[in-house]
Amino acid sequence: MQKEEAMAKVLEIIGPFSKNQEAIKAAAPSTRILEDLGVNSARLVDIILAFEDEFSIEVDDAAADKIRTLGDAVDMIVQKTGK
Amino acid sequence: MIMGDPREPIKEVKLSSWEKFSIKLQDALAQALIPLTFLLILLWLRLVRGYRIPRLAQFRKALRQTLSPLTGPLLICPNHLTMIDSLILIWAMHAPWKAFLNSRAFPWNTPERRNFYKNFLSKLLCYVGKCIPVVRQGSQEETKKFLHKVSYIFRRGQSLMIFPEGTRSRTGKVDTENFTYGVGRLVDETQRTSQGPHVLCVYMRGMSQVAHSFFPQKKEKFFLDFQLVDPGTNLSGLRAARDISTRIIKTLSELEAKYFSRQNACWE
Repeated sequence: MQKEEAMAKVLEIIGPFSKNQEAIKAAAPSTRILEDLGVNSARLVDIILAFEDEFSIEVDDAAADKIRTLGDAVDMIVQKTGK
Repeated sequence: MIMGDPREPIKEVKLSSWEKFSIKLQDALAQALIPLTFLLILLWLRLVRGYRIPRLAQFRKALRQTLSPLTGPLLICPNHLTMIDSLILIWAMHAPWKAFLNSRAFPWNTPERRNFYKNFLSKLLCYVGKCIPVVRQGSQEETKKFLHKVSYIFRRGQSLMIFPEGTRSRTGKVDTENFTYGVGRLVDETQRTSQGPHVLCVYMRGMSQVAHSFFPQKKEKFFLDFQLVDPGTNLSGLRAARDISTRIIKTLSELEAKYFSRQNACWE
């Protein structure tokens, strides 16, 4: 999967959880999921489960803990989907 | 995440002998001091604050009838509106002499460390109040340590009170949107490693309570209702934690809806 494609799907998943829709529109790989997008930390579990469902991957503890920005999420997904 | 990631099972071996002894010692001291602590708390709640619980005897009787056939640990999941909800619930759920004779009737509590462990006096009160602190959004290590302690408490067949919303509701109603999955993780993990707890949802509300507050207002009267929840799930890991937590919150929300429908009926 290409990074651009992964980024689009990541934004699609995170969008409904974001309290800052302006930040979603201006999203970049360096955008922080909690701080910049205003995602409630309690909803990170839902986002990770949605990644697993959407991309048919398993996200372990270590990988989940490293996700801070949209770029982190995209890199993890691209790596796990193996392309 | 408030309670870390639910995928790593709790292993009892992570709790040292000293830590287990500390829990037993705290339990024994807290139980022994019940005549003093409960007396002071009840005097403060009833005489200083002027709180009342209408139909207290009926509530306790119904609770007793529900809980007495159940053996093993009990997880009490109340809604959360004020900082002294757990004190009022402990008063409401059992007579002091019952708590003195049966430690299961005096549940462990899980206050947030930063809110309640500020000075020597508050630490002492938490100690004799059978509290084990939880660190909201703490490190994985802190979260695991907390889960090990809870798991050990459940292995001893005791009860624990935890607020499944994770914090006092900012809307004044059970927060069905922003709750955490920590309580689901607790239940799922303990079900895997030992006899899981029975889960009791308790809805409590001061009848003039509108939004969250530090204390309920003086001379408040409290409404109470409860319902057992089946904590079983076919899912695992994060999905199990989410499933269990969602059902607990849904039950609290239903109890709340029942309360407000009664309130509205009174006005019609």
